[in-house]
Amino acid sequence: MQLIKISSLILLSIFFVFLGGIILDGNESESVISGKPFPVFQQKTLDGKDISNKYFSDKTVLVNIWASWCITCLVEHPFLESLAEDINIVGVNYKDDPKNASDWLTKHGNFFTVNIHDPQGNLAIDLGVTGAPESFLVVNGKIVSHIIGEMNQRKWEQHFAPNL
Amino acid sequence: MIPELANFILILSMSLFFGTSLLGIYARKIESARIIIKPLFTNANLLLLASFALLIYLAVTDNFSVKYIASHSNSSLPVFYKISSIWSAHEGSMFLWIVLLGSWSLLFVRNNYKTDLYITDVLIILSSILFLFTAFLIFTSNPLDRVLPLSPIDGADINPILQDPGLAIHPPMLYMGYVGFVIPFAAALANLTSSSTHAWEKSVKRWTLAAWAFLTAGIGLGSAWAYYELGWGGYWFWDPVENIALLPWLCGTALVHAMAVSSKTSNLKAWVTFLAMLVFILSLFGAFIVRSGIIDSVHAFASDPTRGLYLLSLIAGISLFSFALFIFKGFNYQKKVMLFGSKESFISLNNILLMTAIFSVFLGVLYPLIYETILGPKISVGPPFYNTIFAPMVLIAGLFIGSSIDSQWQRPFRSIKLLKLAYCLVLIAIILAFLYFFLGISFSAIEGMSFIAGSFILITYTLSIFNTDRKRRIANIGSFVSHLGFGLLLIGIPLNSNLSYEETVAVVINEPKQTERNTIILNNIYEAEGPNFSSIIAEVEVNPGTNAVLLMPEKRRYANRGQVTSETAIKSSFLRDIYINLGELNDQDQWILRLQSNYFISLIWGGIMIMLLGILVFLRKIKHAAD
Repeated sequence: MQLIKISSLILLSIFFVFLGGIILDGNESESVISGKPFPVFQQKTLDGKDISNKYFSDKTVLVNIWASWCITCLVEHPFLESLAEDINIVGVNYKDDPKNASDWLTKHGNFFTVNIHDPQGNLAIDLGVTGAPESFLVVNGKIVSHIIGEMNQRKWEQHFAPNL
Repeated sequence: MIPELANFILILSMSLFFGTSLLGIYARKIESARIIIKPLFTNANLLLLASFALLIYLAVTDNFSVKYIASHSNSSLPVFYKISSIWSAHEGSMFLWIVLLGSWSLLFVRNNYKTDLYITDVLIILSSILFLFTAFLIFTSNPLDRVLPLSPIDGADINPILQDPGLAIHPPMLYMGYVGFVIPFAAALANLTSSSTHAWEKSVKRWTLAAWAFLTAGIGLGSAWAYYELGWGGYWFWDPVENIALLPWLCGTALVHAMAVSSKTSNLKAWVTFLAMLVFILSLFGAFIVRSGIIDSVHAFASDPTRGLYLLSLIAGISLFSFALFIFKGFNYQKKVMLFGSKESFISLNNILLMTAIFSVFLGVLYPLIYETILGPKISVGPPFYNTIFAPMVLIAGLFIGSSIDSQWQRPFRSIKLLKLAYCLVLIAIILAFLYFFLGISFSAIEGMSFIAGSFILITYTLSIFNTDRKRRIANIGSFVSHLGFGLLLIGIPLNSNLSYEETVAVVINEPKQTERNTIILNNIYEAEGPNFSSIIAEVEVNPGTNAVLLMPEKRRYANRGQVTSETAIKSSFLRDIYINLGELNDQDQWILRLQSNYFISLIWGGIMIMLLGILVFLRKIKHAAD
C-alpha cells in the first residue's frame, strides 16, 4: 500500500517534469529553418494547377499554413486579410479536404494569391511545420522568419516586418 | 507617479501575504498570535484591490506610459472598453484573476469568526497561494511596467473581436468560477493539516456551489459570445481551452454531488477531500495551459517559456504537497456500507462517470502533446473523439439521474419503481418513433443517446411532481430545477445538431434568389462609419411574404489595426435562429452570403439558464438553513 502511495506521487512528478520539458523544447525548436532555402517540392494548387518551389524564387511572400478544421486560423484570418494589401500571401492548405477548404474560403474570404494543396502534409513536413496555423516569410526563395501559432500585430512587428 | 504607487502597493500586498503565512505558521503553536492573522490578511487584500483600482484609473485616463495599457488600449475607445481592455491579455487578466481570488477568500474568511487551528491553517494556505501568485505577477508579468522615457502618444488598440460587451463579463465570470474553488481546496487541506474532526464540507458547501454556478455561467457566456457576437456559427468547438474549462466544471459537478452525499450520510468523506483538491488544481492547470503557450488555441495568450515554467513549478508544488498530504493523512475515515439503489449510490455511480469524462477530456487535450513528443508528427483530437466518448456516458448518467428521483438516502431501491422507469423508456421509444415517422427526424446513434438521456430526465422528474407519497415529493426544488435544465440541454443538443443546415448563396441587389429551403433578397447594401471603424452593411430579407425576416449583416474595418471583422446578423425565435454572414463581392458582382439555420438553440441557452436558476434557489435554501 505504502508502495502504491509513493509511486503515485512519483508518477505525478514525472508528469510535471514532462510538461516542463515540452515548454523548454517548444522554445528551442523554433525557427531552425530560418535562413534555409524553401524546400524543393512539386504539388497541385487547390484549383488543380501545378506549382513547385520555383514559384518562390523571385518574390517576397508570406506563406501561411492553414486548414478548415483549425479554429485559430479563423481567428488570425482577419489580420492576414489586412496584411494581404501589402504582401502576397500564399496558403498551404494542410491535411484538409479540398471541398471543405474551398467552402471555408468562400465563407470567410479568399485573399490568398495561391493555395498549395497539401493533403498528406508532405510539404509541411519539409517546412518543419508542427501544426496549423504557422507562417513563414519567404524572400527570393529563402525562408527568413517563421512563427508558430496565430499571426497578429505583435508577432508581425517583432518577427516579420524587420526582415522585409 | 501613479503607476509607481500602484506598483509599490502591489509589492506591499505581496509582502503582507508572505508575512501572513509566516506568522500563521508561528501562530499554529502560539495561540495568542492568532488574533492578528485575519486583520493582516484583510489588509493585504485591500492593498491588492487598491492597486487594481489604480490600474483601472490609469486605463481610463489613457496613461500610455504604462506598457500594458499602451499595447492594449487606445484613446478613441469608449470608457467601457478601456476598462475591459485590462483583462484582454495575459498580464491584466492574471491580475484580475488574483484580485478575484483574494476578494473571494477574504469574504470567506470574514464570514468565519473562529480562531481555532483549522481556520489558522485555512489562512496560511490562502495567503501562501496569494503570495505565490502575486509574486508570479510582479516578477514575470507585471502589468504596471512603464515605457520610459519615450512613451507612445496613443495606444495600439484592443483586438476588435474583443471590443464586445462579451469581454466585459465572460472572463470575470469564468475566473470567479476558477478561483472560487480555492475555498473547498483550502478547507479540505486545512482539515487534514489540523486533524480537525468537524464537517468542513458543510461549511464550504455553498461556497463550492457558488463557484460552480459562476463557472457554469462563465462557460455559457463564452459559448453565447462565440455564437452571437463572434459569428463562429456554433456554440461549442471542443477547442483545447474550452476543454480545459470543462475539466474543473466536470470535477465541480462531481464535488457538489459528492458533498451532498457526505453531508447527508457521512459516506465518501475521503473522496470529497480528494475532489476538493483536484478541482482547484484543475483550475490552476487551465491557467497554466492557456498562459504557457504549449497548446494552440483561440484563447491562448502570447507564449513565454519563463512564465510557463514558473506557473508549472507553482502548480507542481501545490499539487504534490496536497496529494502527498491526502495520501498519507486522508484515509482516516470510518468505512461505511452503501446500499445499492439508494440515492447516494446513484450519485456515486455518476461520480465515477464524471471522473471518466474528466480523464477522457484530459487525454484528448494532452494526447497530441505526448504523441508529438514521443513519435514526432502533430495530430489533433477533434469533436468526433469527444462526441463518441461523451454520448454513452451521458446516456448512462441520464438513466441514473432519472432513476435517482425515486430513490431515498440510505434505503435500497424499491423494485416496484422499476416498472415505472420501464414505462418511461417505452414512452421515449414512442416519441422517437413519432419524430421519425411524422417529422422525418432520424437521430444518429450519438444524437439519440443524448436525446434519450435528456427526455428520460425530463419525464421522470416531471412525473415526480404527481408523486402521491408525500415524503417522496420533490425534496429539493433547487436540485429539481437544475436537473430539468440539464435535461433540456441534453435534448437541445441533438435536435440542434440534427436539424441545422447551412447554405451559401451569391446574390445581386434586388434579385430574389431561391435556395433549397429559403428565398433570399438583398434589398440594399451601403457604407457607414462607426466610432473607430468603417463598415459595409447589407439589408437582407429572408422568405419575403408571410414569414419575412429582415437581417443586416455587416463587415467592419478597424482604423487602428486595419483588421476586418464580420458582424453576423441573427434573428432568433424559439424554433430556429437565422444566421447571416456577409462575405466578399465576387468577380461577377455578386455578394456572397452565408445563411445558417440553427434549430433549438433556445433549448441550449434555456437549459443552461434553468440549471443556473436551480443553483440559485438551492443557494438561498442553504443560506436560510445556515442562518
